[in-house]
Amino acid sequence: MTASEPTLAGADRRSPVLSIENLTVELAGEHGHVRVLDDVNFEIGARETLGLVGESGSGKTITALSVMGLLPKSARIPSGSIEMEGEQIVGCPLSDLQRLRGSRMAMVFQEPMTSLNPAFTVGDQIGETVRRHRGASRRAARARAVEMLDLVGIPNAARRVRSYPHEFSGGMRQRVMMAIALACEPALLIADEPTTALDVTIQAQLLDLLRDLQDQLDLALLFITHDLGVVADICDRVMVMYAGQVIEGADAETLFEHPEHPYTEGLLRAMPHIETRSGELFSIPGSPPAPLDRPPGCAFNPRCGYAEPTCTADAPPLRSIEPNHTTRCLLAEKLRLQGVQE
Amino acid sequence: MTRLVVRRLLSLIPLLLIVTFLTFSLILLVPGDPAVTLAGDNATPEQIDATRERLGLNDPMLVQYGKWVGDVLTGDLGTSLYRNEQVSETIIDRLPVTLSLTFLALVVALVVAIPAGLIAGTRAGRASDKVATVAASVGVATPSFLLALILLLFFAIWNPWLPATGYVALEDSPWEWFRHLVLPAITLGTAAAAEMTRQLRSSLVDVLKQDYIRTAWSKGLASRVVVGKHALKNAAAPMLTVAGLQVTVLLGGSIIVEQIFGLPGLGQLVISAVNSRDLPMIQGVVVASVIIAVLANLVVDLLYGYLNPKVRAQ
Ligand SMILES: Nc1ncnc2c1ncn2[C@@H]1O[C@H](COP(=O)(O)OP(=O)(O)OP(=O)(O)O)[C@@H](O)[C@H]1O
Ligand SMILES: [Mg+2]
Repeated sequence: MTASEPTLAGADRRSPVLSIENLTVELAGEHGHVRVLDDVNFEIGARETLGLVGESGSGKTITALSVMGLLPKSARIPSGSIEMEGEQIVGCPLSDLQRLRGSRMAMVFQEPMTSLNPAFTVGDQIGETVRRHRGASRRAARARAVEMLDLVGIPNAARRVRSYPHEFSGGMRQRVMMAIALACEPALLIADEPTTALDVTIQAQLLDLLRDLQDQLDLALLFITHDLGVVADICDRVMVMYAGQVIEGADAETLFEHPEHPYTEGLLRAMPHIETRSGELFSIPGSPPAPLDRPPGCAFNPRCGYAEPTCTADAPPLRSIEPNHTTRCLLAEKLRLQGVQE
Repeated sequence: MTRLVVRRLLSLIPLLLIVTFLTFSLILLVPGDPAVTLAGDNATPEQIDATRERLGLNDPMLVQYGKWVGDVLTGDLGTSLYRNEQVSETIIDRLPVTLSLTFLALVVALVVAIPAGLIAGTRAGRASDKVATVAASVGVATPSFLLALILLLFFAIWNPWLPATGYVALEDSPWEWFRHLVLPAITLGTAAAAEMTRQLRSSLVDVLKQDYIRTAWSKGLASRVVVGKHALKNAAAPMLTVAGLQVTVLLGGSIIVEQIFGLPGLGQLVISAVNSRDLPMIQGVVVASVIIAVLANLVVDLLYGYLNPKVRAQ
């Protein structure tokens, strides 16, 4: 990256915490490698929250795992770059990853019930990160663990550090996961559907907590969800993923009010509080293609109500339709898609 | 925890009753009459009858068993039919040999199984895993007498580094005790080592796929910590269960190994007792073995609670 490259608008912006360019990921399957992530690009700056939304299987978790260097062994990255605070993650040695993980970048997983080790106390599991990255003593690590449990809103922190994961509810376990992730004050937090497995009230509490923590720690937050309601709550910018591709990206408000991709429109219509005239919940017909049999042209065309013959021809690239608004829909200018007003 | 200990010790009582009753009935079913042997070569039928009467062998089986239980309750395991020895004294005499052998065999098994299982489990599918897996199959399948012969040839006969037979008590000379038990312990422990390697490998492969291992990686921990701490503590629990079962297997196996290496333990004792139908002696050994097995499993359960906090809470 040289300063003379005109495409980089970075001159006047602060350098991003995380920057992903042209990332493509393939997983080994029974019939050779299948592409599960195709040409993904995005940046996140400090204090910024980027939402990543899409149906199950669209590649959200794979994106997150790529950043953490935690892709399954069968995965390969044929092209692309992931820079964490300027350091290249793709192809870097394990020791570099181990230095960055937990200290500069951290992740909270989708599965609160199984992501903590049942054989160790939560205090141990929080403190161990601090010991690893800051060389803290046992005692200092324990103190930090209490502090973190307190920060994530677990009552009786001083006593609870000695509890085991099975003594916590799902919501509490996810708080513990946040305590672990944030114990070394990372620059980037990836939250992969952190509330999906939890009930609604707990969900709201955790989102509040996440917002608070982001303010306190200047976090860059990559927030993954398939719930657009949550996105509206917490995200500055949103990227919509479909079948391994980003199909639309914009400021949260813009995306909600003026979606520029029929799939986004469908997702918005499927939100629980938007009801169709008949009072039934809308859902996009059909299901996303399996990575192996993507249709030719636009990946969404078989499910798209607006599809035209051109849509099945060439795979459309992600293009800017307005400043800071990108879409992969060829017909975006022609269509008048329905957004939602808040 | 105290509750667990008390419960286990109480469960000993019915267990002992059942096992000794079964032994008792089985021995009486086997043809052969100790009275004939005891009365001597030239005994008349009357003399044999008298001997039988003196030993109470004419009583119905239940009466005989009841008498034995009654004696045991007063702390008397009886005397040997032949040797005019207190059963309890003989057992206390022989017990250290068998315990030493079983203990060292378990040590051999663990010393082999933990590194081998770790290597195989973390490199599942690769060459070192395959070597370990094949070695484990060979280890499980090798009969102990064959292994003993090979070991004896290599380490006692061609290279006279270790004694081939005999036993020296630990309190007499720890070093000689160890030297005399090395080959028997390896012979006895090999199958257990192989079994425990397989168990550790498979539970490790399973544990390494768990979400909490991914969490451990995501924290930036070194591979050594992820495997040696986070995975091993979880994978050790199923291996420990196998280890507990192996104690019983090892006790059984020690009978043969004691014969081969001329170790004066419970195994030798029970073989000669069975051959001569020395009922009180057989019962004594059975009681001792059951108690050892139950205590060993109690220790395993206590350790299990350490590895698995969820169990400890219950
Ligand atoms: N370990 C794996 N091995 C093989 N294929 C995988 C693996 N993990 C994910 N995939 C495939 O990669 C694609 C993207 O999966 P990913 O987990 O990123 O989806 P997601 O958007 O996170 O979905 P969800 O909302 O269900 O979490 C899917 O087609 C999935 O089947
Ligand atoms: Mg996912």
